[in-house]
Amino acid sequence: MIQKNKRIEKGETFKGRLILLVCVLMTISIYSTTIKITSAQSDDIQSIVTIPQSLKPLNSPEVFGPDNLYEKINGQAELYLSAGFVHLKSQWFAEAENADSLFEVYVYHMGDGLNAFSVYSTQRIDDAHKVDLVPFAYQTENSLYLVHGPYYVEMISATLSENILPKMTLLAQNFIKDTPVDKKSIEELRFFPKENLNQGSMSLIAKNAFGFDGLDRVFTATYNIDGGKITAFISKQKNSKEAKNFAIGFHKYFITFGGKDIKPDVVIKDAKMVEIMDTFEIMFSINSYLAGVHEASTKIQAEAMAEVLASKLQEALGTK
Amino acid sequence: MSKKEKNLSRREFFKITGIAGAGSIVASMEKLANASNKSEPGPFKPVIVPTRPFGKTGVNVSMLGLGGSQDLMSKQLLLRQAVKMGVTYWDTAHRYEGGNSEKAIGNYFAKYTDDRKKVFIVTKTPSSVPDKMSRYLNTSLERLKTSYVDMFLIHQVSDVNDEFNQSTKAWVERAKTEGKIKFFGFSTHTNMAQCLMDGAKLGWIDGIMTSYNYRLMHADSMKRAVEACTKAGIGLTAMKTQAQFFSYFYAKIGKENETALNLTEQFMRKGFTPEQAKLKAVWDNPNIASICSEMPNMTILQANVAAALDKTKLSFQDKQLLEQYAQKTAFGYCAGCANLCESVFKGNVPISDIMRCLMYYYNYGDHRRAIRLFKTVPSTTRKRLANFDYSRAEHLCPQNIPIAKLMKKAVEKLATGDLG
Repeated sequence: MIQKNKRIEKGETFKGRLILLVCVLMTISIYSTTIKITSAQSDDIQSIVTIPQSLKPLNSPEVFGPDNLYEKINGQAELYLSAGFVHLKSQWFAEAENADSLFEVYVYHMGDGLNAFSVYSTQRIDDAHKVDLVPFAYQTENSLYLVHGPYYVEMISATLSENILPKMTLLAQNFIKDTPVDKKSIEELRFFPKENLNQGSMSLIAKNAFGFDGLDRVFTATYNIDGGKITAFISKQKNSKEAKNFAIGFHKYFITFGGKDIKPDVVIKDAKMVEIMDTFEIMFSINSYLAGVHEASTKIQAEAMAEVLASKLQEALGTK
Repeated sequence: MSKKEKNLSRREFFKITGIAGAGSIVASMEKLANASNKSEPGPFKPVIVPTRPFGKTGVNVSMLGLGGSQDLMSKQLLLRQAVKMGVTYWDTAHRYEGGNSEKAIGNYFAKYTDDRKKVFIVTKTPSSVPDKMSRYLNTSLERLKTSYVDMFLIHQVSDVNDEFNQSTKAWVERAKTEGKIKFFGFSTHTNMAQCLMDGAKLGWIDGIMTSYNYRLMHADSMKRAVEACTKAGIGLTAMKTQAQFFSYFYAKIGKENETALNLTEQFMRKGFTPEQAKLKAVWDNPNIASICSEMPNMTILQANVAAALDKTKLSFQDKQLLEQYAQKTAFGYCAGCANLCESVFKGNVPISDIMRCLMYYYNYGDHRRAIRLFKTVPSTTRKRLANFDYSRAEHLCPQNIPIAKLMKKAVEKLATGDLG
């Protein structure tokens, strides 16, 4: 991620453009004479994405595996590696009519759709606009992000250009069209209540949610209630016993680090509550799901949110 | 270690790490607290990680730092505990988590305003172009909800002379005068030794974050580079201290797997985990001010804090063990200089790419992918791959990677592969 931005910055200077031109020429030369497996001969982005006429590729795709991802995106690699990263293919494109209008495409293969959603959701930019390409896609003034099956795709432009976003969209449409995937929906997202939900706030934390060792694959959503922000969470465990144990362990975790045990005024079986860092946490289990409320400003808000979440979860699971 | 470093006894350390290794958060925290206050019975007193001087800045920083490339938004409690345990060197970057890392820290500072003064906050800019740096800095300050950062770094520098010039220096002076940054420097994990040497020559770099670990620390070039930085008064932060990227893969070839197991067993018998021993090996160099560690959960935070608090230095035998392990598995840690080995064949034998095929095959078990990629190598090269003379390439390889052996292994495993 950092490397890409460095390249973008350099691309904005004359020197950078000159270097880029030389690089492109060298790449073409290398492409015709060498045997790099990362060239277009391999099963790379050029072979799976139809490039619109309005765009031209500037280099052969680069391929990165778990061993060298950090060379491309530096410390950001940890996020992807912990979420099941398989490989990354990246490539520069420019508008056919305007060589100065550049953008780089990153196609992260994350193993499965949940992993792809995880890295997408945890990096989502607040002031982005939803795009009607696939269920999970948004754009900023110079970038486009989406999830397609196990792929997390980023397209990031070097400059602000009103022409570039439509071109990115075209490329994204081609990628989606040319890349058949299993379009399985994410079940847990249906379990979150819709009322007061912050649109686009649903996320998946791949590992170590809330800093609790072993609490992985946790879905979260934020709600605005009476001017305060509350997070609700759901995480499927192997069975109901494990979900119950996680609720107990999670409660102990907060108590260990300074939390105060409080009896919640809710009708959710075995629900537990903690006051910590001037906020309120509630945790409970329903069947094989661990669920709860994180960082509510008041006890009443935490309880109200927990009741609504539990009700929705029971309804979805048919246990109400 | 500095005299200021507060320590546990070795026995207590064994006890703590044993428990932390078992993953019992509740027990380990209590033991950690009790161990640190063994001679002072009474109410709970949190342990505090020792500090070290950060170059010539006049500032002492915690010898254990918290890496911010993680979901800190949901981990405000981890940030709180980090402060309580004295882990007050916090590292983040403009792009970490799409900016959410900085925002999460900003949320923390908004709530615990007093803690801002306790934390040495480091963030990084993806650009070294002055006007862009200003933009990135202002965005970072806004996200972090602070008026200044303690250290501002250019992210991922691989060539100091290409990245820094007089306009950079002027920008730094202005930013310092405006009070927006206290110190300035860069991070590097490519050509590190050269970057450190060149950084030391500049004369106006305050701090450098560099890849530095039990594998890299023994190279003469790295030793000289660290010494040059120390003389220049540059504060050094180590990252990538576990050096684990390639080792998993190559460790599976040959007997090195046994070496890794032996290492684990021996350190566990002594009360360390290998991870803790690797941290201690880095801290053994007093010129490393802090280690930046990811620490994604409270268990790892506690285990690393325990390692930082332990007063026992690695013994000569311990260091020898680590160094032997590093030597035996050096070929599992590619230093990223394919231009050296491939230059022997004028770029016509893609050694590093074939190693990647082996990585897919051995480490990730993705045989189809490995074979598919291997088949993209022209058949004439593939046929001769096992017979090329790699002695010159091996001679050039600073990691002593047995290239010939690995190329033969590739032919053996991949050449006749059928994709089905």
